[in-house]
Amino acid sequence: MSLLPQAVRNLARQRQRRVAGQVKQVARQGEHGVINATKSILRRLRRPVRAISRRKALLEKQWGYFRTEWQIERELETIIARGRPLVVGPWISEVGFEALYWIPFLHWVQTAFRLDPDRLIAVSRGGVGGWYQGVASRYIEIWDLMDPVEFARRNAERGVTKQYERSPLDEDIVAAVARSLGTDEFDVLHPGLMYRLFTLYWSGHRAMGFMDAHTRFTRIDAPPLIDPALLPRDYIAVKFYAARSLPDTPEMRAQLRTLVHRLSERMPVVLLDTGLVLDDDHADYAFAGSGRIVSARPWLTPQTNLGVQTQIVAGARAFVGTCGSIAWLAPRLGVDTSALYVDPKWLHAHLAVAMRAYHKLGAGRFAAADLRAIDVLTPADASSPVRGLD
Amino acid sequence: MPNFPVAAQNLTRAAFNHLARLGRRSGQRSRRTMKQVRESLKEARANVRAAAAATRDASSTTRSGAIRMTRYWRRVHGRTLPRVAGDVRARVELWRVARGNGPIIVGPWLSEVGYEVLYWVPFLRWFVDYYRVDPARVVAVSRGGVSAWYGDIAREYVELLELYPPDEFAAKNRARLSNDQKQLGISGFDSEILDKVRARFGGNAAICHPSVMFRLLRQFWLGNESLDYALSYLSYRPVGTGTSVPVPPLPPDFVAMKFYSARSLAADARHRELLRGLIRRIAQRHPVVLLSTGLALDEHEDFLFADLPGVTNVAGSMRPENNLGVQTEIIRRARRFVGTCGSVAWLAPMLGTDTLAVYSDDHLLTSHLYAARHGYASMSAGRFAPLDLNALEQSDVNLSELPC
Repeated sequence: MSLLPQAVRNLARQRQRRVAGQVKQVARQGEHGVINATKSILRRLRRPVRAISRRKALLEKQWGYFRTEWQIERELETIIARGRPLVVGPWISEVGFEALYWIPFLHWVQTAFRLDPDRLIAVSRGGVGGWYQGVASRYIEIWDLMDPVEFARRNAERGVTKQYERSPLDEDIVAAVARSLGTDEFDVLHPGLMYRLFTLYWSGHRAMGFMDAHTRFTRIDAPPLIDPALLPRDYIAVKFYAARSLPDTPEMRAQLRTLVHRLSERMPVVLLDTGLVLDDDHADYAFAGSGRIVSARPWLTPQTNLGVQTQIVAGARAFVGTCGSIAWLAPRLGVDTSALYVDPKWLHAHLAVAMRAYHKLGAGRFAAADLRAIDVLTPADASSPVRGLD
Repeated sequence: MPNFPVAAQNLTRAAFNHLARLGRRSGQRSRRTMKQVRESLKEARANVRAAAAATRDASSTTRSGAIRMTRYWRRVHGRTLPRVAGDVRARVELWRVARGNGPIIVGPWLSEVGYEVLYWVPFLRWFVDYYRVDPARVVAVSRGGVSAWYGDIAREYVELLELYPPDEFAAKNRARLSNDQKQLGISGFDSEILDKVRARFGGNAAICHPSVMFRLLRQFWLGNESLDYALSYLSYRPVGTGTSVPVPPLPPDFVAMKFYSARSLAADARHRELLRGLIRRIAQRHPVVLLSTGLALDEHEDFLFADLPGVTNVAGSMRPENNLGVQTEIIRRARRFVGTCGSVAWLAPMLGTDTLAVYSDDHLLTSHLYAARHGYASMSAGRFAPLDLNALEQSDVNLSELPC
């Protein structure tokens, strides 16, 4: 009999535990339900909030680009409005950027602001006064003001190739220009302005039409700096130099050598190897000359090297070379150009500008070729980056 | 006795001195006054000059400010606002298509293969990602058995060449082309196709028509929109493997090749000769599989070089309704793809196949090459090497003369 109350108590406890468990389960389910509902609401809210904040960030970025563009245009207007002589430069960075962007940009500035070329004084290096024809009636050679070796050393010290800001070297050159002109009553249109403006395009934030709107590509003539009789009557100008787009490897040298020799079998070749490393970090590939391969080296001095190269290219049947530097200029001289590369990573934006501009200009034909395409012609087990030309 | 004459003389002198002093003083005063007047006049003249200069500066600043503002306004009004308005319209349209749970018909794609591969498919991928559209809802409508291209976008695929006999399809598409090759709007033929597809998948299916993409990206192709803008609507990813595509027997380690005439590669004797040299040269190294279809579904004409040794033409194993699908799978299996820069040449890198894309006129290719290079760089694509035939000619790389 004494077991009965015990059994009842046990049953009651069991029942109580079951009920408590059910209550807990319901509470847990309720809690989960509330949490899930809250999460769902938050998720629903989060999406538009995220979309809005993303859109806002995008608009702010766009606004920033507009402000940069407008600020640069205002700077340009302010400089020009002073009415004083304008020193454009000094150009101390890569040849390719000068040929493809800086000079067409100056042509645009000149046209847009109706500037008299007599007001402009171009400052560059390598005897490129001819490149500025129609823009500036005066040209000052940096290497007449500064020793080329000293220039190369100080330019390397800048640590950057582009001229986004005025460096001490720029200041010293401008001071030397002032001494040369006998006055410091002039304003400077520094390449930094162009670099900052065109970065908007190079970084993909502005359209190709933006470049059309801020550049004018014109045909140029090369003034004679050497006796034309020194050159063959009919020839191909070739300039291969080591760059990121055409890196210096033994295989590359071998293949380019073969290419140059093949070209020379058809027509004399004039090699534009300067033997100088003064204005940028690109070293020319040198190829041993046969009778039909002529090196331009004996005709080149630091002060005139680019000018003489320009003259040689202008007189050539065609130009073949690394995609960069003079290759961007050759079509403006009316010369058909083959620009070769194996690594287009840094070329995308420049190729687009060149292809578009030279089509419109209708001077020389600009044809770019990825040399990696040629390796389809070679054995599967070969490992060189460029093969098949031999 | 006072000395009157001396006194009078002294008085006279004193008076004279006084008068002289007065005269001097008044002279000084008058000189000072005159000087002050002169200086005042000078100052007044300077003030007038300064005021004139300030007025001139202010007017010049106002004028240049007005010109600048006009220019900015013209830019904003002429370009930015229409672009923003177009963007908003397109996004609203896409949002309306994406909302709900009903089926979404994407297509019908009736334009060029190149635009489909390089823009339409990446655009749809962006669309389903951005609006979180379940691929189970999406029905792709295209031609040539290209369901693999839409593998990660659409669960359903409708083959247009199963809805229409190839001849009828080609004729109707040609009639549509009389307006524009690009699908800038919904043509009568589009509507007819959409009615048929709707009948199969339900009348309430939403439509994502290629015209939305054409409207959004057209300004990029024309050079008026940035690369950034175009890429913000495109999502590049490798193309997955297709199912149930009957691939013909293929030689081991072969090169797939497809040359056809286009604006970028005119069908003249010089190009035929150059390409013949190229194919002969490649065929000496690897078996070559020509992806010639023998079908006249568009305006492009295939260059045929099947007479060369080592070259196999697989035209016989393709039917109109699977020709692009078969080409896709052949390219996927190839060690390389070589062909005209356009059409499936844009696809090959997305299949992981190294590609040589040949052209001789880059006039209409600039923006596509620009986008493709960036698109491929953003995914694990095969190597894409474009080649201007003129560069080879100028460089004197005679393809047919290259030694084995």
